[in-house]
Amino acid sequence: MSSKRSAEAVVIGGGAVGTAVACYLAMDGVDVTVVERGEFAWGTSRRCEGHVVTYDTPPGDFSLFCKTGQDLFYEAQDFLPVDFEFTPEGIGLLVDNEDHLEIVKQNFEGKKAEGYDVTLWDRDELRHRERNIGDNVIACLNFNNDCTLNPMRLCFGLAKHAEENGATILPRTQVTKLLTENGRVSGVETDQGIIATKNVILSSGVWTPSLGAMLGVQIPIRPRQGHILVTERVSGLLSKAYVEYGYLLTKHGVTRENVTPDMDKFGVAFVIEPSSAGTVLVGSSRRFAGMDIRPHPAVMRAVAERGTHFFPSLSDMRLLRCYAGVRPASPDELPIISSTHIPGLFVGAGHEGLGISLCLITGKIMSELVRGETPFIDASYMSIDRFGFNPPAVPAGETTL
Amino acid sequence: MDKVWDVIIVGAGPAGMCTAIQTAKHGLSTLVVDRQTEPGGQIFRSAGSSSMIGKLGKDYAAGLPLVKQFLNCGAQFEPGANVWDIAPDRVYYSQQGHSHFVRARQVVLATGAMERPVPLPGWTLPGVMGSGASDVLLKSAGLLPEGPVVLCGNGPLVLQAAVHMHEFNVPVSAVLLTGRMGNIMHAMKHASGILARPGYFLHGVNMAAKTMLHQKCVLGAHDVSISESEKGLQVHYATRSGKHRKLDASTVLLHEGVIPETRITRLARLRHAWDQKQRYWHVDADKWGQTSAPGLRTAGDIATVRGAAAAQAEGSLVGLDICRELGQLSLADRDREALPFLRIIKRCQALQPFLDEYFAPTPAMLQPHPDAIVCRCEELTAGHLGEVIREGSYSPNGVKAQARPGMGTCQGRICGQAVAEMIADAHGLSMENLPQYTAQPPLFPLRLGELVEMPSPSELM
Ligand SMILES: Cc1cc2nc3c(=O)[nH]c(=O)nc-3n(C[C@H](O)[C@H](O)[C@H](O)COP(=O)(O)OP(=O)(O)OC[C@H]3O[C@@H](n4cnc5c(N)ncnc54)[C@H](O)[C@@H]3O)c2cc1C
Ligand SMILES: Cc1cc2nc3c(=O)[nH]c(=O)nc-3n(C[C@H](O)[C@H](O)[C@H](O)COP(=O)(O)OP(=O)(O)OC[C@H]3O[C@@H](n4cnc5c(N)ncnc54)[C@H](O)[C@@H]3O)c2cc1C
Repeated sequence: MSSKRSAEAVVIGGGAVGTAVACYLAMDGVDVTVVERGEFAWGTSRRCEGHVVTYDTPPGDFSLFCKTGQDLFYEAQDFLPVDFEFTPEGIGLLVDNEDHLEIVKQNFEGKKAEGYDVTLWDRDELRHRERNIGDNVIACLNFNNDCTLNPMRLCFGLAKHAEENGATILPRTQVTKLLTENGRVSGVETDQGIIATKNVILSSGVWTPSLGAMLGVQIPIRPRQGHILVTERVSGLLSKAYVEYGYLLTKHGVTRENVTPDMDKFGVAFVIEPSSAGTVLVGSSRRFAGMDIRPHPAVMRAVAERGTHFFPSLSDMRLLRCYAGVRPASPDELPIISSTHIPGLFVGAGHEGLGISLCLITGKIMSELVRGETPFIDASYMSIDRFGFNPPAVPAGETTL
Repeated sequence: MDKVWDVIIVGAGPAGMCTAIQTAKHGLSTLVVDRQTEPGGQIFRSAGSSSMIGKLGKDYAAGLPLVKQFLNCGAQFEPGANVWDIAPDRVYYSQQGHSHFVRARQVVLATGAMERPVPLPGWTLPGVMGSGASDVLLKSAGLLPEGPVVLCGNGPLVLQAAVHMHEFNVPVSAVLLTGRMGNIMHAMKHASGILARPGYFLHGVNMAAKTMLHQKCVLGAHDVSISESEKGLQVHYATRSGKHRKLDASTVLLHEGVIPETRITRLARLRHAWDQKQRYWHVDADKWGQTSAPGLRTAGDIATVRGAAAAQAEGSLVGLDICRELGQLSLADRDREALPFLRIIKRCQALQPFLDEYFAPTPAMLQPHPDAIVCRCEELTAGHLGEVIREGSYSPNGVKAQARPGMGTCQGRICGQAVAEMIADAHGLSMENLPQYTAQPPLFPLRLGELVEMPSPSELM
């Protein structure tokens, strides 16, 4: 990298969110540079699963937000230059207890009213469709537009597409300092030189707080660890991706009955995804364990045990490897998509377990914010102001390029 | 599970056995686990039971007394115990389909080395194997490869295999030596080291002489590839003067030297260092085997490949220092008892520069032909991986994320270094700056049901 560079906007972080932000900015004609200290997909976006979901939220504004975000993937499939293994086969929400069934039924009605393509399978229908399903599973709510993809290929594709639209991509470049002049962003210093810019977007996942701190902006994001088990290639075990209803509870830290103490302690809830390569990903766990991403056999064991509860024949599958990642979790688990009180500094981070699902919509909104436009969908409740930690953010529209 | 051992040693090769002999002798409770059914490790494999014990020379026969001494030293030995995860104070292993975990105050990894995998077209065909794998079959089952054999590679084990083939009357079509002709010149600069181990050196010279005398040898062979033919296999190669030649074979034995098998030390997140001469990564440990993680030590080939004599001495030193750390030996006593072992290591070290130069890997061999399958598990060719690398991947983990090498059954054991060599070449990076694949548990495929049946180790978190 030459010692002097400049850009209209600099995106810090080459995960799903950062590459999507760079991609939309570039498509919208902004001269953008994306800086990633590793390669494209280096942080959490290479240690996760690839569900693009709407099952995660009760009906309401955020539910609509997720759905709009999902629709963008159906578009991206056409314009991204890389096959990111997009699989729009739907995802099923599995129910293994009567109490949950009532809530899920309400959820079904609500989502239907919002115009979702959802179907509810009873016990028999479910067994008919998935012959390996466990005896305890009593129903399945299918979100037929939910999909899966390969997040690492997605990030790479977004970065490539950004580049084809004029963006500069800088892998293996670490940001060491954020620069300001007269209270406004003026550039970033990296280990490869300085980039002059008036706009910086922090989309650095769990590392976002440390970057914000460089300019005294408090960004409340904590790493929330999750484990994934990968099996050897199997065929005929299952036909699409599933998740248990309890997953929605662990996300909000609700203590569950009918699970083992280990499952409760590690926030283990079942999620399963057949990958395009033929392996099966089985998850997952949720706990605050700092930045630790070394898998632990106790958590692996609890995840495996939960898996065999839903698909008993998993027992005979062989585990190839386990990995763990850290979800960037904000206090209310909603993302932060926002300007800040420092003119020219933006935050797009804190997507917890939805960073893949919501990366494109985040990119699109961020491009609008940076260009001083009003977002196409209400994102006001994602402002950093909701936490009250910093002086009020610069209103959208006042930060024109 | 409540028992906390003083020492757990993973691997009952020369290094691990010698560590155990020391710690048990000085009164420490010692557990040794090995995935093989008998102690002995690579060089003394099956020494306690092999029908070949009298027939493979005195190097192999020397294993018998050591194995006996180990079995009587008071350490507990768990055979058939395959370790799949470790931490500085505990070891997880699978034995007869059941997983257990055991705890210790000190854990020693003495898990040895592997043959350097060097992908070339056709190396995945049936009938092609490492000469080490063939050595294993010979020692453990008395099995000889089917002739005619083509031996191809660089390193003392090629010569050893050539001698064995001759002694057991296995027909050899040719021995293709892939080492560079200039190596000898560089090696001679370190010739004084020979004086430190004249016997060992002469043994090597003797093997080389026998090979030259009895087998057809091709020096400086390159561009090697293997294909299937009606008669079995056909080996194609170019001679030093660039002429292309063919050979028929039933078995092809490949060998390009030995490198530490670092998956287990990477799994432990230990610090590693790059050896530029031998072109391999090894765990960074001091002479007492202390690694970057307190409580975790290494001994033998896992740290540096210096052969069985050094492995035994290193294992003994590690054992003695554990005795010091756990209060069984004073510093002075440790140093006194360490003297003879330090002397052996000094001698091995003196000869090492000569051997390193003489058997230095040939750079051209390390850049695979586009048709060669690099990742055997996912069947990815060098041509395909090369494209992915040039498209914008700059590290083994980066390529793994985009194209899946290293995500199969062997978890990158085979392709890891070859992929790194390709990246270094394509982007002009030095190997030191190309960290290896991140290793993840389990070390080998494990039935999910077995994991579930294991008692929960959650109170250890
Ligand atoms: C086990 C697990 C399963 C998951 N499953 C799903 C799922 O199915 N669907 C879903 O939608 N979400 C899922 N998630 C959540 C999702 O993975 C994350 O929300 C998402 O990856 C976050 O993306 P990001 O771009 O914000 O962060 P990251 O991917 O972490 O990217 C941040 C990047 O910033 C870079 N960086 C940091 N500091 C600097 C610096 N100083 N200079 C330069 N670069 C820097 C890092 O190297 C990193 O690449 C899962 C998460 C986990 C852990
Ligand atoms: C193929 C090959 C052939 C060789 N031939 C010779 C030779 O002829 N002459 C010579 O001087 N040197 C030879 N060497 C080098 C020689 O093996 C070593 O220097 C010496 O044996 C190293 O001893 P060690 O104890 O460090 O390891 P090893 O002898 O390799 O012993 C390691 C032990 O650890 C066990 N182990 C490994 N991983 C696990 C796990 N996860 N769980 C449980 N157990 C595990 C293995 O089963 C093995 O028994 C050879 C090396 C190789 C790789």
